Amino acid sequence: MSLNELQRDALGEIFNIGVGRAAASLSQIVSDEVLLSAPEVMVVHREQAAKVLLGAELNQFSTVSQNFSGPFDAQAMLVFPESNALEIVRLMVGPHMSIEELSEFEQEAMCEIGNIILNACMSSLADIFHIRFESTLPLHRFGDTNNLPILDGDEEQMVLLLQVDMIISQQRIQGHILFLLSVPSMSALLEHIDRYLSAQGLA
Amino acid sequence: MTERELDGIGIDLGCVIDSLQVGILILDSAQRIRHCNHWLTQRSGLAASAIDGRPLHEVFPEAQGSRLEQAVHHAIHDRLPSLLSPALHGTLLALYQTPGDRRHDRRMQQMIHVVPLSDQAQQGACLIQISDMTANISRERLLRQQTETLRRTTTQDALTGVANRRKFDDALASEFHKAQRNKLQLGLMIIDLDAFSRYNAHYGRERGDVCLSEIAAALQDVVRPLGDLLARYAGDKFALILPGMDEREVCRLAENLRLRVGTLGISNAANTGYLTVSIGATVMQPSADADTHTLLSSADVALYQAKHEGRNRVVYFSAEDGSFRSYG
Repeated sequence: MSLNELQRDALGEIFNIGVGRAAASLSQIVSDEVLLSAPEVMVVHREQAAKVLLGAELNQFSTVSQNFSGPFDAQAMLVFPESNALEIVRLMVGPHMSIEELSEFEQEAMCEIGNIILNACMSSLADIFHIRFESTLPLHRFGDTNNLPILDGDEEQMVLLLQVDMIISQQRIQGHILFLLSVPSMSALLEHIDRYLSAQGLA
Repeated sequence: MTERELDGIGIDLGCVIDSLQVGILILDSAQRIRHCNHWLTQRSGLAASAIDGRPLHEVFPEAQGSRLEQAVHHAIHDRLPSLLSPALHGTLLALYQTPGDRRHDRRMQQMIHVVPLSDQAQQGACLIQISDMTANISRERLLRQQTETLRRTTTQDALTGVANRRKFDDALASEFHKAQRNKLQLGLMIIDLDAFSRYNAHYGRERGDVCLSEIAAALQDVVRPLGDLLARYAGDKFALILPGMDEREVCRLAENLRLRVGTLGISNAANTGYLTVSIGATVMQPSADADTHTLLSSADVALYQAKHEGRNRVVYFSAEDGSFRSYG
């Protein structure tokens, strides 16, 4: 299962509307400009997604996840290498700590940042497709590649993978957004995209 | 337990909500507050009658244009839940633990969850849940301060403020590995105060302590802020780790330090001149099988030789060819 060019462009546009809204919310919180972009969308298998994440030099991660359910279900995750997550929290909350002492206080901040970004992506999808999702509250976790949730679970899962670039105070921080979908959920998503494209007279 | 079961034992759900130790606000699709619990009226200082039925932004004007308002919109229109962390919003709403806190405008630290509720008309409603995080946050601040103090006391020499022996051992081991891995030179000097036991005996330990602090400060002034490490190695001995320095640089720095201590103008025990130091210096590019012991004992041998040659001088010892070179 893969995306054709039209589908990929449409999804890319939808998610960029989402991350753009998230950036506006984050900017408001820190009273400073926060920029977010998601330059590329890919559909990959779970193992490939893991490989992309493992390709990063560090294998300690910060993940914020939410489970969305609706016309299709998706486990959404915002994944940053741990040091990047720390950098974000430093820039947004304050400069005073190392990873070892990253406390509940900062983990909650990271959780909120993830919540803003993931909700914005999913509500952008919901707006465009005229559908609705429900969701669990966000959950933040630190972990290495061994317990990254993406590495276990159903073999058949597909992953919608987006790279995100975040710019705060002129610093560029990279991470990924992942949507884990079952094969039926992925088909449902593709149907929604096609319906949207044909309503636009594009397919 | 469902509502019906609660009814069965005569418990009203409203009472349950009023007994909760978190703040509860229930909003309808027009963002009007349809219910607030006892916790909230107490902490906001508002009567339930002044809250119920009014729009959120009228009751809490501070919420207007805030992320809370966005989160409420998100919950009602997109049916998505939000979390507002104390780190990013802290004291968003004007809620206080006590009337005294209100008078001084010391708001409580808040964690806010905003979740969608399904209402009968299916128009959307939401629940705002507010937890008081003040105690958690002050506990975390305290813990962080304690960690900082602890870190300082376990790595710092209490008298002189430079690194202590424990920190020195750790730093030497780590710089040694770095030099081994990257095939770099590593310099080390041991700086010993000349005739310091006589100084202590003559002027008393208190003045001896002052003298040690002054010398530590003078030495610290000269070291490079990144990479070099000055430590109190033993009672009247300091050690200086110098990553990446060669013999010439180490000896020039040692000579500089020796002269600097001489110009501090601290009278010596015999009152015949100024307090001086002897310095043993060495450099090695550690091979894969070398250990820190060779480096330390080379600096020690050099220091011993400096004392032997009459003190107030710098001696360099090369472990490679076993030769001494004297300066000063």
